[in-house]
Amino acid sequence: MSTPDAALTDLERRAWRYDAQDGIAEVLAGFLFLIVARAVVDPRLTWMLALSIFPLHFARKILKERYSYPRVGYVKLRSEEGAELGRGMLTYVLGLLAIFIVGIWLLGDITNPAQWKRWLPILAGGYSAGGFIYLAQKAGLVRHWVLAAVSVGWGVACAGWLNPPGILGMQRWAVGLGMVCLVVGTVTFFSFLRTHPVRAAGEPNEPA
Amino acid sequence: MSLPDPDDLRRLAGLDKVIHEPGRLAIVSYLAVVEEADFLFLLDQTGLTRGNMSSHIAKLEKAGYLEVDKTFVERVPRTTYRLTASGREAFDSYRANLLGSLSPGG
Repeated sequence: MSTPDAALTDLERRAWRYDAQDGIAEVLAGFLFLIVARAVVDPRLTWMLALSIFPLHFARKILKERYSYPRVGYVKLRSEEGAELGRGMLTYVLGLLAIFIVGIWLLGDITNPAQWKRWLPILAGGYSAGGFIYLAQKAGLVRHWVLAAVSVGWGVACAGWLNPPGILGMQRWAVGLGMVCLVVGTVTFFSFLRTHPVRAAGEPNEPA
Repeated sequence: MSLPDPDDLRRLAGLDKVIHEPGRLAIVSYLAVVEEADFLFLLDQTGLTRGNMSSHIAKLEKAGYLEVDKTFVERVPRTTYRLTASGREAFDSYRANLLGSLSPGG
């Protein structure tokens, strides 16, 4: 028998899964990675990356309101306390950066910018994998674990195996992961629309 | 098998009856792990009928455990529910009492 705490954790996971079942987050993550791909080859477009957060957030809200909530209901999830989440993220970001720096130092010349550009897809893969692992732990969905593995695996492939010149490896990584996210998200989204029809008029969606 | 501790039995008898009803416990448990949710979400998740849900929600609201917010999103009405501070406190204390009285040794 599960303890009340385990039962609550399970309920929380079900709520996260409920919210993630439409695939909208993956579609928008796909667009974000494609914007990253454009911005890394032209640093003048870095502002585009920063500003894209707002329209993507707005697009998520509109898509949820129009397609998800009328089908499965609205739920606003609770996230960890801001300070706790911030501490965890900072530890992850700095820890991964430290490992990355030590790795470059062991592999060659730490002062050579070409080395940094070459191995950057692995660092980026590690960071995005962190996001997917967070979602996987919260919602318990296999596709988030798969995306985390693709994120790191594709990063290793772009840096070590394909190894194109300059920042192109990073661009290929972002395009590849963006396309994977778009495909996974779009397939999930249409499957969600098919399996969750809009409630017919008169069906209960409001209190009696 | 040892007899239950009288203190544990007293704690069981003192459980919050507003929350203790299974339907209301399901609603409160869900709202305890999310920020807020609407009627449709709770209906799907708890498996209650519309009438049952409405009556349980009315009782929880009367006890001051729920906050109700009625809005219109794209001209469609949406009623959202969230636990009040006293609702969250009551649920925490309900869990502590239940766990304490059921676990061996209190």
